[in-house]
Amino acid sequence: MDIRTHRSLIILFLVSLILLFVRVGIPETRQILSILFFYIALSEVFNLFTGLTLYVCFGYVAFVALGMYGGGATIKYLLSASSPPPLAVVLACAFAVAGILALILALAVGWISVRLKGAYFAIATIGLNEGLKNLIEGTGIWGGSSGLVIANDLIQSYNYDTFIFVTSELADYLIFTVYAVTILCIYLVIKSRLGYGLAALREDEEAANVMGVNVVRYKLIVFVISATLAGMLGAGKMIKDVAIYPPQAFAVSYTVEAIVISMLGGLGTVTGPVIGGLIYGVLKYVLTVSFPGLQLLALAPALMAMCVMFPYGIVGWLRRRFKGSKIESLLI
Amino acid sequence: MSEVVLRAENVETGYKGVQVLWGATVSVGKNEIVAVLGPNGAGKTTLLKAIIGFLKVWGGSIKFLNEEISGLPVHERVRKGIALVPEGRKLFPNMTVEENLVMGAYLYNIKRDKEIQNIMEIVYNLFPILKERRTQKAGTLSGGQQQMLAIGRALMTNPKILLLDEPTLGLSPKLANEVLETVVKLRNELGVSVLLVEEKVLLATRVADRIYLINQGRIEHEVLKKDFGKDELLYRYLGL
Repeated sequence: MDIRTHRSLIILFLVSLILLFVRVGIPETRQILSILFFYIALSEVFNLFTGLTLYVCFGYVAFVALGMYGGGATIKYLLSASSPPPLAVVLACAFAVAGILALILALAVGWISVRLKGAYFAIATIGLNEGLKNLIEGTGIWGGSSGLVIANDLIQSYNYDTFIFVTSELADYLIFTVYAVTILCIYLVIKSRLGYGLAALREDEEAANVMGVNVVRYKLIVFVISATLAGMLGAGKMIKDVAIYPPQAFAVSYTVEAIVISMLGGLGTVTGPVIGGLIYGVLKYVLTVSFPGLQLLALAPALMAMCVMFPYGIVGWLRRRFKGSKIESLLI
Repeated sequence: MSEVVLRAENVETGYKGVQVLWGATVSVGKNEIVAVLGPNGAGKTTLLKAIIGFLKVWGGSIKFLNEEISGLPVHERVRKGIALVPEGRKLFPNMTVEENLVMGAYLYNIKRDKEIQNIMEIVYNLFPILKERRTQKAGTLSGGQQQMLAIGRALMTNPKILLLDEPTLGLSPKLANEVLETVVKLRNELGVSVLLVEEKVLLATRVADRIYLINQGRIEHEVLKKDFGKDELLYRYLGL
């Protein structure tokens, strides 16, 4: 394998690693960077489906929340044993269960809904989020409306220092790992026959179909991959937050933020969410600090201005600006 | 007519409970150009949609090379050798001419560059104008060139039969003529059968070997080439 053909991915990965090192090296950046990691990872996961198909799934948060619940419940269950298994095993199980639950839900929902076209798909998935939230609150599973808290379980099974390390350090690295896996997935999809078919589908579904692309299967594949990663991201978030309550977990604002970041950076690109996430995250943080309470008022016009200036996202704009040069080839 | 490539028999279909085709039967032989003529709303596009598989048939059968295909999904039918040039062309306007053609070659494994190059060369020979414009964005081509690109893209799937849905729609008489000439050319040079849906009767009589007249979802009449000049019903369609 020629490493140079994957240069763009490697560079993106190295740049991401720099962020991780900054986070480790400069303690003051920890708070903002861990928020950034989560948003960038969420946007990449979201981008894997929406960016490649241009189908918007409003129920996206449901997969993240399901991952949080799945991961949290697994941790709680394993730690309730008289002699809790080692931490690594517990965390690995949490991620596996979160991924599997999201995968099953995505298969069930996707099997039906990807047959719908465009806006109808968005409408069909909008109910997923609310449905799941009401199911959990109504039936009282996983703590119902009083939420699921795993902080005590972690402290009692291990010790306070481990608890602090897991929630404030390890969780960020885990989220970073989900991010790294996601960019690898998007990259592989884009470079494969699947990505080639999806590019046609994104432009015109009917035309893609008459060229021999199995559109339903392709949409389902990326939907399921994306949802599974969203579930695992949820497990990472659960380990970081150590608690989940239905109203926050199922807040649609996540989806909206993921859409904003992806569009700002460039839908359907690998680098887009990273650039978009950095700008959005820093902007949000700075505005919150300097105009507390007014940040949303300032954020909205700032984002609108950016969308007007960069209709194809920042990566799209850069690609046009540096057309034909080396820089364009790096902007995957 | 020699070997039958496609035969749609007593096809009944429609949209969400509104039946459009009420038992339409058409067949296309090898190397044959068959035109389906009829007024707006007669079911011409619906017939093509049923053949390619966008619409499920409610009754009747569709046989391609003697094999029943009415239960197959669209992409499988394309794989078997049926290509559709949809109404309104449905090109990828932001991609270049060449990228559009490469997209059409989706059925080949993308690693097999050689095969794609070969078939692209055939398409370029058929439509020299596309070769000249190959780095131009598809959306900036003229209407006639876009139609040729749409046909070229469909040919990239290496079809045995080409379904053309009103290829002359929105074209000037001169361009419409040019497009239909290339249809004859591709039949002659590649041996592809063509099922052509048209509203322009006079143009269709110039290129078709056989004509079906469709009205209100039923095939009303079949006219052979030798009768094009004297068929009364066809004359009525011509408005003569």
